[in-house]
Amino acid sequence: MNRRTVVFFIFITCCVLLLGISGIGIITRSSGIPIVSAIFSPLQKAVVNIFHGTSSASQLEKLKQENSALSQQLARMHLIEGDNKALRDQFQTTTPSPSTLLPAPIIGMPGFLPGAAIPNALIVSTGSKNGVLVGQAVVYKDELVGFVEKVNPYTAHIRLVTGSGVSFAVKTAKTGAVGIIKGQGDGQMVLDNVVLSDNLEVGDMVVTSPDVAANNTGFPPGLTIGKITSIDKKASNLFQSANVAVLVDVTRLPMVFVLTQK
Amino acid sequence: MIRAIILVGCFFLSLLLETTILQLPLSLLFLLAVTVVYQTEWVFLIAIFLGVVLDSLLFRPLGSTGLFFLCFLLFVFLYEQKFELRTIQFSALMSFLGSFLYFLFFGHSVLWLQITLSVIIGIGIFILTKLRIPRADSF
Repeated sequence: MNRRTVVFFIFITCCVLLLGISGIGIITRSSGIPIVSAIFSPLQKAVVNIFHGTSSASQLEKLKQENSALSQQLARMHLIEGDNKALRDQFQTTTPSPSTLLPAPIIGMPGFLPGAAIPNALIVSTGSKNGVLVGQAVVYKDELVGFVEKVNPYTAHIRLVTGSGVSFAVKTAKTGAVGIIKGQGDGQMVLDNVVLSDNLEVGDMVVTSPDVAANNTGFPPGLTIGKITSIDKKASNLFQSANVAVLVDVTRLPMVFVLTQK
Repeated sequence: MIRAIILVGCFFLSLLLETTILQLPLSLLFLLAVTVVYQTEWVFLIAIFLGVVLDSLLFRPLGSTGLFFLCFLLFVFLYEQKFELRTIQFSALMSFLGSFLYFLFFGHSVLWLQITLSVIIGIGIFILTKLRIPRADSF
């Protein structure tokens, strides 16, 4: 056995041991080595800032943002309308507990290649030392961006709502149709499992249903997820579905906000 | 000494870019270039170190990237007796194979544009490494 083979087997054993101890939980599988994140996090932030600083927002981008803001206002108006109706009917609306927004600068976008691939996740430089917990909602303005999937003391892994395999209960702002939103992994989402008797409309906003857990993680009601762009309704099917487009382009955001409950 | 500092700087820069704005396997491409130019066992140590750092920054199970790097480098070394490693053709072929496997194991999907870019960058890094280091045995 030559020297190279011996060295290789020593290092491969180290890797397997590392995998083993991270697998059985001696080193938390999701958090890695915190000191590495602590060292790299400020540098990653600087690199991302340079990148964002050099890309100027075009007029089209500004219009898109304005349109997004107006759509969100419309969604809020529909929600307020619903609330007023409920009050008139002498039902008391439940107010979610006050929340605080924790700024989380984006330092990484795994799987993102401009113009070719859309990210499924974000890495932010805010971690458990700042009060971030797994399962907390991540927003930008009033729009739900994703949720905290993994966390270590200095950074957190945010799963985007558009990511493949992501699904949770939602409702439409205007018509109140309930269903399940499913991320497709390519920046698109599908609103599925909507019964045929519910009414879906193109242009209607999709918002979160109340989904806050006992430890104050999860999605509070009324956060905007996206806008319905097309509807697939067939009388022969059990459910109808709709394509939903997100309103915010996360690849252009310098930071997002983690929704922490007081 | 200056050579080592330049290499460390390049690895550090590739780590920073790979974990932030550029989702290409830059660390793997640098490792490959250093492997084919120097043909030394030191790359195994660099591979395991880079693997651990990448795992920590990209929230992967610790040791998985290192394991992939080591297996890939061993695969490259297997052809040492059969082919001349310090050629652009070999570097391009291994960049293609390495980035394809990397995206297959760690990427969300295999994208040919990313792989093509990786091959081009891999060739570039190989040429630069070879230019900067005319005497490969002095590492």
